[in-house]
Amino acid sequence: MKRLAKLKEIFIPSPIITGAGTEVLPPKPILPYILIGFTLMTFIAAQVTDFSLVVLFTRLFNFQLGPWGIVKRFFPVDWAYWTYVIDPIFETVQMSFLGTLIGSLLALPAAYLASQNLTKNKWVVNGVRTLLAVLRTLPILIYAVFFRLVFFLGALPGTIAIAVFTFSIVAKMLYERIETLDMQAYHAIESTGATKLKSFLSALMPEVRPIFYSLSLYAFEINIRYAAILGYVGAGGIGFILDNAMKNLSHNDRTIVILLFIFVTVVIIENTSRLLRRRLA
Amino acid sequence: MTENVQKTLNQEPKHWIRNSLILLFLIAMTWWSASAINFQGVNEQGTVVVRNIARYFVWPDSNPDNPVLAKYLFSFERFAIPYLMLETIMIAFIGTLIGAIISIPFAFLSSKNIVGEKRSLIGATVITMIRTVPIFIWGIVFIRVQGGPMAGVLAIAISSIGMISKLYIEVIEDIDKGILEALDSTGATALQKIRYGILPQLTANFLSVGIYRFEINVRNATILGLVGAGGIGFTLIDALGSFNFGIVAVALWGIIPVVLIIEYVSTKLRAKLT
Repeated sequence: MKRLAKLKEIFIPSPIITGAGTEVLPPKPILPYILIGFTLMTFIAAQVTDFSLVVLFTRLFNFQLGPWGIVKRFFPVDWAYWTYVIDPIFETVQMSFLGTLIGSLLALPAAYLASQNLTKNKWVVNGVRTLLAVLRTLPILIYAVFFRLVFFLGALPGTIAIAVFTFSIVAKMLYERIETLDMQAYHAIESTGATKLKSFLSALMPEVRPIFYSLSLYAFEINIRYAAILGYVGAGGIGFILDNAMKNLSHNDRTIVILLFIFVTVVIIENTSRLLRRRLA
Repeated sequence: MTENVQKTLNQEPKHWIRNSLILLFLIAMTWWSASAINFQGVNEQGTVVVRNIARYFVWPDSNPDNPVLAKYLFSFERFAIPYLMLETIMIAFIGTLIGAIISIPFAFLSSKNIVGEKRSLIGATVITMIRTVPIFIWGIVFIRVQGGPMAGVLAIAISSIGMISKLYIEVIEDIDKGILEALDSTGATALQKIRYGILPQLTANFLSVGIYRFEINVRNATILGLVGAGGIGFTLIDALGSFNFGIVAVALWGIIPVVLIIEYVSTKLRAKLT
């Protein structure tokens, strides 16, 4: 009985009586409910995904067949391969840059149309938002597979895939920021008889511009990492040689070199972009 | 009045040199980037692909010889879309959970206010390294543990550590130490200080980060199938490659609504938490 009362205390805590004699209700606990939900979900998820800790640990420490077996094959590293990595890594940067540029530029008008405070037509606002939301549901790689079928192999399908993805995320983040802007200057200029677009350009654009640059840089940071896998489906960039290095047993020793190049590129671009974004903010 | 306006306008700092340099740099970058692309026009099958995907997306049973709605969308067989979507979500769920749990000690060991400025740099570097490795690499490595969805779970878990730890570190570095001092003055034990001083500050934010990453991971889990790590990815990408547009359409019908709902719920939950 006492245990049951204790259990009840966890889910429905009884009021605390303070020294002054007043009753204080403790906040409703959510943690126990979350924990129960998580445990249940984890159990179901483990069933569906065949996840088993026993298999994980027996295989993890099987140094011949387990994951270490493939990691061991990465050594000794074939450092001489680095000359072949330069071109693909540059291509990856080029694809990300061009894709980000195109996507961001397209995102600007889309964000204008999706902002409730700028576009009064509800159908347009909701239509553009739905389009952006649907575009966001698919990962870049699926777009890359699709555009590779439409265009020829190479950097073009990858670039377009990156542009579509950038468009969908930059436009979303941008309209969310535009809606929080102070509209007084906009209305003041509009009241002088200027058109809506003109009022936007002169009153809000100075505020939108740094936000837009910052979001585009942020998208560029993300894209450079995504662009590294597009080559897996033949959409250009470093992913192609990475895929080859992983799958071809005699080329396994190239993997580390390629990963190192991706790492250095990502670090350089992320740090430059962060520096610029901090100055913009 | 107009003179004053003109005067203030003239006092504005002039950025045209800087701006034109930036523009020049952007144009140069665009020029250089465009050189990577050789546009050969649309593939001969390109228009067919676009037209068919649009047609089947509107009505997946467009081809009477290959009815896919009943066989793939409204069926709970293991190869059908609902089960594959369930598998995808579950891969993302358990992967995020494992990643989030591993990230907790990881984040504490890389927070400036806990281990100091210098030592936190080691953790930060490891986190960046983990984030750089593409998810497919983890998938291929973990297929050696067990092929199929379990490899996906491990790949998602490890690749999540990077971002989750990074966001956890921000939360930990924001901890208000005043509360701990206040608890000290009441004579609280170390355990009580953690329970009442630290956990309440972390739980909501940690959960919010986890939910946010789960949303991203569902999207990531839809492509893991490409390397044989489970989820809907293999079916979708294979159907695209073999021009089986009916299956492409039902796969999209599976992914799009599910991801939309998850995104909506995730946004609502996170807004409630913070």
